[in-house]
Parts: sequence; structure tokens; C-alpha cells
Amino acid sequence: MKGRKLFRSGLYICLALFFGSLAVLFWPVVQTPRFWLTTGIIIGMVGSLFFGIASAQNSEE
Amino acid sequence: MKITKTTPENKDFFNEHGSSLGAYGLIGFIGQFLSGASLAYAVYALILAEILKQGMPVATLPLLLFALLVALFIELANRILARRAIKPFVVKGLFKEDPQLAGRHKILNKSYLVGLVAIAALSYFLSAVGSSYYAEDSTEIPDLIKVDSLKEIYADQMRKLETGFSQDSLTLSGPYELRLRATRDRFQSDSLALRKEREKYRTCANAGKQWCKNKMTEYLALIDRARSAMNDSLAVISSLKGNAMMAAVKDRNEKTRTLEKEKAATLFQAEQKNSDRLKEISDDSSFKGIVFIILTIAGQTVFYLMIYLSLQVEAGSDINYEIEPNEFWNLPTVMDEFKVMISWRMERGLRRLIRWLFGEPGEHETDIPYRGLFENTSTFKAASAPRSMPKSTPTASVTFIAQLEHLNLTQCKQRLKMYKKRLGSVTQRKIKLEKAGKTVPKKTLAAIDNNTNWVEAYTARIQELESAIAHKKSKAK
Repeated sequence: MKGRKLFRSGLYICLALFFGSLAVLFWPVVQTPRFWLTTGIIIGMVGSLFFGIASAQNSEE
Repeated sequence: MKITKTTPENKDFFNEHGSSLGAYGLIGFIGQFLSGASLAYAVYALILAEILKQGMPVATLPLLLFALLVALFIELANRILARRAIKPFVVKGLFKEDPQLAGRHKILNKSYLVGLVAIAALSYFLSAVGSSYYAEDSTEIPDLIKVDSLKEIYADQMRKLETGFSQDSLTLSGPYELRLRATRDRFQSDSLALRKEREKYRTCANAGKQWCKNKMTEYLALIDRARSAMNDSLAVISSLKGNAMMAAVKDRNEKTRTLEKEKAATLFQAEQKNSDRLKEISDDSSFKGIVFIILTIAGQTVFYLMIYLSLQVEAGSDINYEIEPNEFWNLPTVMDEFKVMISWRMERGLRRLIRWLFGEPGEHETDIPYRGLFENTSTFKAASAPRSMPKSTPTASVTFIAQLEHLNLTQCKQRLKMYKKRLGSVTQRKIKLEKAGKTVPKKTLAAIDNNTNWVEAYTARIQELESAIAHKKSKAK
């Protein structure tokens, strides 16, 4: 239990470091409206697919 | 390794949805191709920009191949991981009867999902970048007004104006200079004449005559009057010249001001027009970029959807995959065999070289200097003892010898056929050489010997296997 918690914390810390570094690296890009537009398109499209499928599966069950 | 699909167990479901399976595959492939092409373009454009920045020579073909390789790597990983990562959402409860297997299955599924998320993020990001680059590159460069040329034209006009002013001022000042010179010349000549006249009275004045002295003083006064007249004339002419020059300067300044104003207005208009055109093009490129981004992202998303649909249809139709390993499954890889063969051949050759250099070891000598180390171990003799082969051991690698015992009847028969063929070929070679009256090389004789041994070994093994099978059959009866 303790080990699992430690691994999970490690994972979250590493993910935070990774995304933080990415944000710093791409800061000039992050500031542009096009970045947010593209991110919106990707998240919107993939999210719609994912939640659409999940909703269809749940209604089936 | 052969992967085969089982026939659908649930026929009704398959009849309803199965007809679209091929189309799903094709649509998914096209979607992935769109994403991959855009990704490759992003890699190409990024590397090209870096090469141009460094001033290195551009080789388009290798660059293109490299970009395609990167795209292939990402999209292949995407394809493999997508199927594996999506399957657990479709087929649940696999291996649940065995907790250990179920746990391992769960770990693998989670790993597939993590891998897919990473690869998908990379693919989405690079596809979006590639789409933007493509939109920018495909937009034509606008025909802008050349502001620098306009500036140059106005600078030239200004230079011409200055040159014209210099010429005009020279032309203007010319007559005045002449008049000034003429006034000075007239004074010079008048004063010279008056001085000459005055000199006539010098002898008389020196003699002490007052009249003559007065006359000389009178001439001096006349010279002074002439100088005053000249100065008056010089002042009038200089003033006239100054007025004329002032008018010319005013005219020049007025023209310069007009030209400056015209220049500023023209440049402002040109810059404004250029800025409008650039903004128009940028808006157009931005719109195109967004359209391409939507297209490539939709392509990849549709690819995932198609995989999900295929898995659902397969699961519903109860189609399973069966993996059949071939006869080489448990053998070392071809590369390993190749490496073993090369190293063994090299070692054999080098050992022969050592023998040739230093001769065969004597009766009481060991063949290698450190043999004593092995002789003390009990396992050495057992390990190095010859295998149950007829006569001598065939000249082949340990791997090949070990194979013999693991091969089934069909494989043994195949090998026997192969060695018989080889034996026939080398024997024919020997006969040919003998007929021609040539000496048969040791290599050929060794090959005949070796292949004969293999044929005998495989024949014995086949007999062994056949008798074992016959024994089994008789027992079964």
C-alpha cells in the first residue's frame, strides 16, 4: 500500500516536471491564440470520441 | 510466426456488421496516412530550417527519407499500441480465472495505454505543426511594393535638386561676379590713370611749389572718390547678388519641402498597402493552417474510432486470433546463426594458422597451454565427449548438433534430403576432377566425409523416430 502510494506520488511529480518543462520550453507558442485553438480542437475531438464511446458502452450495460 | 483469424462464431452479428470490417481498415489507414504525411512534413520543415540556419548544403532526398522514417516510426507505434490499448475497453475480463495472468494482463494493458497516450500526443502535436507549416509554405508570397526602391527614387530626386541648385546658383552668381570684377577693374584703371597724372606734379612739388602740392593732394582726393564710388557699386551689386541667391535658396527649400512631403506620403501609403496585403495573406494562411490541422487531427481520431469499431465487430462476432509459431520459433535468430558461424569459422581458421605456424603438439604436450585447468574439472570430459553420432562427428557448429535431437520426423527428413543433395553435388565434383586427371582437393574430400556423416546421422535419427512412432501406434492398437 505504502509502495503504491510512493510510486503514484513519483509518477505525479515526474508528470508535473515534464509538463512544467514543456510549458517553459514552448512558452512563446503557449502564449499564441493558435496554440489554444489547436489544443481545443485536439482535446475536443478526442474527448468527444472517448466520452461518446464511454457513454454508448454505459448505456449498453 | 503465422497469425490466423478464426471463423466468426456469432454468424448473425457478423452478417450484420462484418461487411464493414474491410472499409474500417481502409478508412483508418487513410486517416493515419493523413496524420503521418503531415507529421513527416513537420519533421522535414524543422530540419530544413535548422540546416538553412547553419548554412549547410541541403540534400532533399536524404532529408525526405529521414522525415518519412520518423513518421513511419511514430505511426507504426501508434498503430500497434492503439489496437492493444483500446482492446481492454472492448473485451473485458480476459484471464480472470487465473489471477496471476490477469494481473500481468492488466499491467500490460496499462503500459499499452500509457505508450499510446505518449505516442498519440506526439503524433497530434507534430501533425498540427506540420499542417501549420504546410499552410504557410503553400501560401504564395504577396507582391509587395518595394519601399526601399521608393526611398532610393526620392533620394535620387533630392540629389538632383541639390545638383540643380548648385548649377543655378553658379549661373545666377556669374553675371554679378562679372559686374563686381568690372567695377574693381574700372577702379583699378581709373586710380592708375589718376596716379599717373599725379606723378606729373611730383617734381614740381618736390621743388617746393605749393600749387603742385595742392594738385597732388587733389588727385589723392579724386582717387578716394573713385574708391568710394567703387565701394558703392560693389555694395549694390553684392546686394543684388544676395537677393538673387536668396530667391534661389527659397525656391530650393520650397522644392525640398514639397519633395519630403511627397516622399513621406508615398512611403506611408506603400507601407500601409504592404501591411494590408501581409495581414490578408497571414489571415488566409492562418485559416488554411487551421483547416489542415482539423483535417489531420480528424484523420488520426477517425483512425482510433475505426480501430474501436473493428474490435467491437470482432468481439461481437466472436472472432479470435491464433498465433502459430513455425519450426524456427525456438531456434536462434538468423543473425545469431550467422554470427556464430562467422566466429566459428574465424576461430577454426585462426587455430589452423597457429598449427601451421607452430606445428602439431608433441606426444607429451597439451594442444593448448591452459588445458590443465580444464582437466581437473569433472564436467569437462562429459561436456566435451562426442555425441552419439555414427563414426566421427560432422563438422558443424554445436548449435546444429544440438538441433538434431529436437527435430521432428518431417524436419529430419527435410535435412536428410538437403544433405543428400549436398553429398551428391560434392561427389559429382570429385568424379569430375578424377576424370579430368586432376587431384581432388582436401576441402572436397572433407566435405564428402562431413556430408556422409550427416546423412548417416539423420538416417539413424529418422529410423529412431519412425520406430518410436510405430511402437506408439502398436501400443495404441
